[in-house]
Amino acid sequence: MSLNSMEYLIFFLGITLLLYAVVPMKFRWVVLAAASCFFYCLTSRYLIVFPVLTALSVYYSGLLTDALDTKKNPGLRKSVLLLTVILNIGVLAWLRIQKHSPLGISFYTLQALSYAIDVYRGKYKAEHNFRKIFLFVIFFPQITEGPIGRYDLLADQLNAGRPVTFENFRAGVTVILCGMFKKVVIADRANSFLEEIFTNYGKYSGLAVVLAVLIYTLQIYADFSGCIDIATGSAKLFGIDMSQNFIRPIFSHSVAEFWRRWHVTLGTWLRDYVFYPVSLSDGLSAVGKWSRKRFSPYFGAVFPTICAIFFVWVGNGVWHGSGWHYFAYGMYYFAITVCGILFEPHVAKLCAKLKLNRKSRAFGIFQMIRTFIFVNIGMMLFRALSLKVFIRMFLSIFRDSGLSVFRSGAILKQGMDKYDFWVLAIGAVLIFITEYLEEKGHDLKAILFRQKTAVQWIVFYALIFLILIYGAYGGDYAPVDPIYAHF
Amino acid sequence: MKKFWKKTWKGFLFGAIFCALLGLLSWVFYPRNNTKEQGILFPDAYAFLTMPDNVVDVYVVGNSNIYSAFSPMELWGKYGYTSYVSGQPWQQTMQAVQVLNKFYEHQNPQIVILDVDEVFSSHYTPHDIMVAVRNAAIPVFEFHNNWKHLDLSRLTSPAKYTYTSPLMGQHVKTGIQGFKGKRDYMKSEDDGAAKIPVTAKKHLDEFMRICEEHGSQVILVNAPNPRTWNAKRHNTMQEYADKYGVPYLDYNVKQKEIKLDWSEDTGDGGSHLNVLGGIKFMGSLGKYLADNYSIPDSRDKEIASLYNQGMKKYREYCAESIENEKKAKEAAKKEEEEKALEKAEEDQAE
Repeated sequence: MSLNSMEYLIFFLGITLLLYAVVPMKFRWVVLAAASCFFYCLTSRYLIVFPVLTALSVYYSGLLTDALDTKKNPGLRKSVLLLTVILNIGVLAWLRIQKHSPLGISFYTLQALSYAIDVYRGKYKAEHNFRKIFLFVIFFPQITEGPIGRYDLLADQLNAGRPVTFENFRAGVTVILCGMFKKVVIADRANSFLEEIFTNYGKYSGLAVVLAVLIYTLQIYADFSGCIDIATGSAKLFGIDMSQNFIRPIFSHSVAEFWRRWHVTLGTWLRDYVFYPVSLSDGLSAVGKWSRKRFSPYFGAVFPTICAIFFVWVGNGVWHGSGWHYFAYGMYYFAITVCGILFEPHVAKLCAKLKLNRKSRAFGIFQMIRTFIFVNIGMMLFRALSLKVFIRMFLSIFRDSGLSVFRSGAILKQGMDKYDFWVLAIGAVLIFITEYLEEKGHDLKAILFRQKTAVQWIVFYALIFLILIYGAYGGDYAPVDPIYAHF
Repeated sequence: MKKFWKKTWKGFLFGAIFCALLGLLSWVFYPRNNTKEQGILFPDAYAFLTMPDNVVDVYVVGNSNIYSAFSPMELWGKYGYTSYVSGQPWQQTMQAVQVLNKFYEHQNPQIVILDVDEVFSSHYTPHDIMVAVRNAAIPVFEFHNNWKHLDLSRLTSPAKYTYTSPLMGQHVKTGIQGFKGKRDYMKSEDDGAAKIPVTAKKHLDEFMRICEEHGSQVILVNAPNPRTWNAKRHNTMQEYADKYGVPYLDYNVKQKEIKLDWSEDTGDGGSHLNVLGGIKFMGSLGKYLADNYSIPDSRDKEIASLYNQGMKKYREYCAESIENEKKAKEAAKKEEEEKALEKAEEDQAE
């Protein structure tokens, strides 16, 4: 049962919300837990044993590390945590290799481990009530694709019964509708076209490949952020606020900034649990000091950062899959990030020499376009069937113009006709306009909710019927699973 | 409390307007033609809509098994019977009922033939049922994609059907690709019976009831298919036919009778009969109809021109098939000769 299905939206979510509203406050967590187990079993059946084991492992890890004295038993505390991390990451890796991944394992494993590590670090006390940990791990809206939540932000919201209010309902439904628009109208429409180009890549070159890459970037954004919208909107119906996973990444000025805006919860997880521990480790600090003397003060200062970034990008790449192109995907971003750091002083000098104002609007647009190009190349690597295929596709862009498929009209027979291209283009413009306005500080939801009822209704009807009419579903389109549900 | 009632009232009003808009859009998007662009996924099954009313005497429903095997032109050429085959790839029993109902809106056939190959593949998940109910109740869900070809000027005019099927629904396969699997697939070691899926049984009963209400005589048929059929399924369908007192002609068990040759009578390795296999199948079925029913010969009626046009096309396919058969036989002969030569050379070498 995927988040954009009728079964989920009308029946599952509707019944769960109804039960949540009628059950006394102190038992409302039971409704969420039961619904989450039902949701999980419906998709993965007996594989629910894996999230249960993960929840148990971090629960006992938390209790043990909390009980052990930080001064008397530092080694034992560390061993308990290490064992928990190795166990969970090991199970994740093993299941990935077996290709029998339970639903959302990549997401709930990181989420659960964040709890164990935070307790170890003393950020908060260990939870003695197992059901709180279990619900935190298995909460149904986030289990498929995240966002990867944090215990201190989420657990209390899940376990304390919350009133079902009109305001939350309206806000939740609005976000769900926006997510459905992105997923069903835009992302799913592009699927068969992209399947054709990326599978039969040898037949295409030049502009056709460029077009496919641009559409894939649009698709993955619409798919992932759309599903996240449906997840956060679902949680909002129950009065639960989940972490933001996308902050309008199109407006990023650098690749580093892009990753602070794209899949934010994975980025912050890797920052908190990989980057900081590695960059602040004693060994790397010593190496940094040595490099400062041996090379330059700037290099010495950034060297530990570069090492930590390396592990972050290895983690990011491998988290997405076991193929070499995922590893290369991580290394691609590592290389760009490191180049950005190492060349920064030189770029600053060059700009000063050329009297370029780096804070000007024009320079900002140049940076955004540059980042957009880098990101698109990264997306191409991400979507390609293998590293070898990526190289062939990338080179084919420069082989010839590839205009023949446009001239002959063959491009309109590869799973998308001219109407589909129009819908994609208009959809992309609509997303861009709304995100631009939000980037400029306009809270569109708040603005809408301040309007008269009639205006609000018109917007709701428009959204619903745009999805209903222009959605890529039914006999003409094959159903498409959420892309990130496979990671 | 007042606030609560106000919100409740608003909620109902929102829902009522929403339902009205759904109804309006369903009307706007409902197909006014039987073409693919209008949302008819397999228009050949509905091409009878372009024919004059009440002219078809034998109506055939089923999946791709029957639209490959059943040839209305064979019946027309030999007996002058008007027939039409509404086959759909992977047709499910629910779709069989839908297309039958639509057919009865325009035609009143004396005989209705159902190919039962689809019965055991009609498994419905809760999702399938939900989608079917949703589409039936609110057609905009099924035909929403018609926005691409929406002609607002035709909204108020009656439906106008333009998609025709010269071969009256048949999909001919002229190629030859023999079946290499077990030929004795109907040999039963176990005399048991297969279970008809619950929802398929429900639709099958409904199909029988509709035919009875319209006074049509039903014949259950199974065109030969070694890939889907077996003795257990045969037993179950025989039992079902006996219960309703209707004939059941299973050509999987009559293969020898019709002299079916699996090496040349199938176009895709056994999944579907080609024209050559279809001719053998129709030879027997046509004779059965002629011997047991009094179906009128329509060759002197107005409808004859339409069937005669189809006949021309069908003859072209037949000629192509005979040519392919010749080529296949020559290729097989050549292969045999080569093998014999190779063997002779090996023997000599020894």
